[in-house]
Amino acid sequence: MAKAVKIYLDVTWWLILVGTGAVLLGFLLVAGADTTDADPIEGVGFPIVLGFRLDESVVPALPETAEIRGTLQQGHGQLIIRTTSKSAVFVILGLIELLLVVSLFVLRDLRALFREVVQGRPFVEYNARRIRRVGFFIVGWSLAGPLLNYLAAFPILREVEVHGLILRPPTNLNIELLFSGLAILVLAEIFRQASAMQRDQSLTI
Amino acid sequence: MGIKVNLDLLLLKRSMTLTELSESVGLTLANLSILKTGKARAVRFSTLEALCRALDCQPGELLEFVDDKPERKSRG
Repeated sequence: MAKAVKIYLDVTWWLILVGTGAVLLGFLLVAGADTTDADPIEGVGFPIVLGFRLDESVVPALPETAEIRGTLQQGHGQLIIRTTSKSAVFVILGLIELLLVVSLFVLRDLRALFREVVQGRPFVEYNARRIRRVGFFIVGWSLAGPLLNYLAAFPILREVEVHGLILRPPTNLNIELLFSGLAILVLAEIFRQASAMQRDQSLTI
Repeated sequence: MGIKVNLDLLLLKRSMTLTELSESVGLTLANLSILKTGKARAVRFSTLEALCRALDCQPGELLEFVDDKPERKSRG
């Protein structure tokens, strides 16, 4: 089990490391490219998460024989936009790079934490700090993700129209992720107290 | 730490080395060193008993309270 987790963490680490390098290379190439928004570069696709309400005038009614009686009202999904604007590509690659770098820091903590656990030293103060950092990252991401989605969708939706759909920026919070992050923060506090007890224990003669 | 362990003093009085004490009470040199340097957080009664037996002393001779915090200034 421990070996499988170690392999999983190592493989993820190397994949993200390679991805970070590739995105950084792309970022630098775009930054150095002698182009303007009027002279587009090769396109990059990116998803915009959005919600929508069905236009009441074109809502298809559920058939009379349907077991669930009611009307179709709303849904959510994502638009994939392929942009050729240099500034948009620059910002997208920058955000991806930032996310990858933060992920590398989190994975570094997880790998170090796992190494300590395997070596029989789970309850030490710096492990509690590592778990706390991972918890803060997850809580931060659970809050920043929807905000980024909202901000990214808002200006684009002003320019996009789809017949029969009333598009709106997404406003749904990722509750599961937020609770996971909070649970990890609680776990970090347990680890902190356990490490203090472990230290007391080791200094009891 | 306000509690001082007078292990050095008692070892000197009994003309005993730390190694001899270690063998006598069954504690490692590392643990005795933690005790001697005042890094210990707690002492088990069983350890205290073994040390008192080996050094032929009372707990009060082994442990001493030293008030190392500055006195509070009285108001007024």
